[in-house]
Amino acid sequence: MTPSRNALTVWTPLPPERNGIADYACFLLGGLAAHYECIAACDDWLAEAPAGVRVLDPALAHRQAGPRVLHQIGNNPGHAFVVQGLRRMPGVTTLHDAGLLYLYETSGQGLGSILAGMAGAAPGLAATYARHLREHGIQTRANHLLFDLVGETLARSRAVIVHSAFARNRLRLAHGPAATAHVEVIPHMLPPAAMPGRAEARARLGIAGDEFLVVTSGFATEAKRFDWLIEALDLADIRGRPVRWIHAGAERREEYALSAAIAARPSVAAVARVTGYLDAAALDAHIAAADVLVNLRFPSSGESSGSLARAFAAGTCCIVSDTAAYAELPRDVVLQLPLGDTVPHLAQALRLLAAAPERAAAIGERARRWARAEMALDAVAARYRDVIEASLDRPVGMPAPQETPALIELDAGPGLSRRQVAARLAGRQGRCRLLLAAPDLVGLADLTLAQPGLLTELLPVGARLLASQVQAAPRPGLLLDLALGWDA
Amino acid sequence: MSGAVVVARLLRAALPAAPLLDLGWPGWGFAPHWPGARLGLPDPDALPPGEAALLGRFRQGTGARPILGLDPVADAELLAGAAGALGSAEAPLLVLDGAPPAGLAPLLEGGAMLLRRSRTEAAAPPGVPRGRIMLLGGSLAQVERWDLLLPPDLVAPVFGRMQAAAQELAGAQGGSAAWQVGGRVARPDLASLGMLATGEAPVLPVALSAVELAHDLPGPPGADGLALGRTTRLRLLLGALPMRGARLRLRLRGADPARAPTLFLDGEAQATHLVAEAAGQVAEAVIRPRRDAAQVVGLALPPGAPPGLAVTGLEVLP
Repeated sequence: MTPSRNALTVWTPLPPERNGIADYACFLLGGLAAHYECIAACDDWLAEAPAGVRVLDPALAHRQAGPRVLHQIGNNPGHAFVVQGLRRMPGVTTLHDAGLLYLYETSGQGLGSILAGMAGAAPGLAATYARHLREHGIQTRANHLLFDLVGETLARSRAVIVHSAFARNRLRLAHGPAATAHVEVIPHMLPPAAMPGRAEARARLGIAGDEFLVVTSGFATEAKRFDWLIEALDLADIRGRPVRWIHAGAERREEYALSAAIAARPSVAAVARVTGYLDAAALDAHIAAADVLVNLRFPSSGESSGSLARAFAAGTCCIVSDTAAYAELPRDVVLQLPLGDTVPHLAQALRLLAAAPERAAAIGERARRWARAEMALDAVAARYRDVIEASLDRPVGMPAPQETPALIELDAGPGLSRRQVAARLAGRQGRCRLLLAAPDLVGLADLTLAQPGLLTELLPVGARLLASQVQAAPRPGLLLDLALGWDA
Repeated sequence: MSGAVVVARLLRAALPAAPLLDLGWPGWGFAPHWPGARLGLPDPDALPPGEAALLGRFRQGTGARPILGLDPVADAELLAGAAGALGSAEAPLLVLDGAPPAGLAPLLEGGAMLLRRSRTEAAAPPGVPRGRIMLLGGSLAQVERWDLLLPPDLVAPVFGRMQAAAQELAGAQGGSAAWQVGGRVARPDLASLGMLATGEAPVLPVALSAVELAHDLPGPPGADGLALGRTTRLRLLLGALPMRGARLRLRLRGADPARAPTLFLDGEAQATHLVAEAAGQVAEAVIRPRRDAAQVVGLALPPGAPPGLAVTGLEVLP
């Protein structure tokens, strides 16, 4: 008789969604299934999951959920339903990106949630930037660097998992040690499927054995520094072997016009190709066929790379930037390029590896051995289990249950400042009533005539005005219905 | 739950024009057997957040009304006794699994009939004097009891119609070997009626048209049924179904056999096959509900399925 196992509900996107986190979660579910009866709550009811893992409509996941819940959150709108799930069913959260502002912006989250998140991420800066957003709709790229919008995830999660010490330290610096005491590091994992051999992969792709193949992968973004690679390939002047560069991934012209950048450098354009989005098997073949996977990042916010894990599994030599999570990799398993003068260093590395392929193979083999010890699926799944079990009783920060909104009274004289209002509202979540009290209704009228933008000037960011009414009794003033903090 | 099915059938035969407001959450066991029944929540504030979010999606009828208890404006309109708010000008029948919530006082004072699960003796509801028919349903192994509270002058005629319906249903579902049926009128305002299965109660068929389904589409059903338009997902809220094997059938128009829909029960995909029929198609799955609670039927179209699918009805068959 098989003993019954605990259920684990995992809120996550899954394949066929074209999303690295969907692939990651699918791998992880396969490992977690050794420990739990896994249920995947996925917005795509027809999504693909490993054998034995049931896929559920997230709207009904609460009916089958126990106390063990895992959320996979990344910074794109495909994770909006996971945020909703986190609000209703707190659990452990894997935070795949260091910032979530794009997710909040693109997934219909209320402005109040965004403003509250900005205030939580950088209180000293939020007043100015959030006022720009609230009053003028001004939103710049600076906001994405300044405000990570991770506060809600930290507060609502029993534990938070990130993939690098860099990511954990960054959270700690932004949100403080108390709010991040439950953040754990679990490294990225190796894909469970065996990678094809180099010769087999090259045969499949029609690439000759003597070609020097450089591969980049994933969605082409500016931070992947294709500009540096293009310049380095031009500079490297590799001779003796035909050179080929394949970008095994999709181009999003609105993020980075990769094809145009390549076309602008004819010597590189002659050897370069962009494949467009590839399924997992095709991506594996490209990475396994490569002499070197170039995986640069600058700036990096601490993200990890699924392609790097695939390259480790294949024993493919990797070149990365010596920054953020990539700087934590052992020095002998990847080539880490300094952020200063990257282009000549990269050109030199490519030239040397092309001339001495056995050196590239040796680095790749060391990476494979290291990754098998540190990033194996069963080891990663066991660490997940430990975090989930250890966090079961940890309380989470949930909004107070709906009840009669608290009434706060403040004398609304000319000296009342936004700072005073913010101080009285500090620490509150949900609905609140604020009475800006006046000596009498004439006094209130005088005040509003003297300060036509009274509420705009007084209300702090993160306070949404739901309604206002003039109150004559029991105490004259302007009675405001406010919503504070995150959406319920 | 099986008792609710039988009692619903008998009451439906005895009170064919009465609109039903089923407040028996989490089961809503009467609603599937009472086409056009409105669903309501006796205590919406007690709902867990996930269930509140789920139930808040659904709309009922041509007026696209939310579940009673989840929309203060719509609730106020109904409880104020707006003509036709429950779909009929007849006195409504309210189904409860406990004491009536205070908000229902206007309906009770207006003469609504009340069917309540009877675990203990309960106080009389407000409003006009009421007679009582004590009802026993379920099986000999598991007897369930309800009290039907209705105007005293209706006790005898309603009892008579229910008794006749019980005899007819028993005859159609195995006869006297399968059922024990009995009852009597003790006083003009008091009667009792029992219909108990001697073995396992059969699964009684459910048949609801599109307009009788609670759904989560943005608009109400039209002449062609529940039209999905470009939507590829649909949820339908049913009451509780027997926790036994049954055939779930969704009647469709416009399905592409090459990109057939998949049916879901309580969020989980069911092995589905599409059958062509004269008036369209039927998506069918064999289901076995795992919870004695209101079920949610889902439908999902695969990528590339053409738009324009419409659901024209739902059936649950033995």
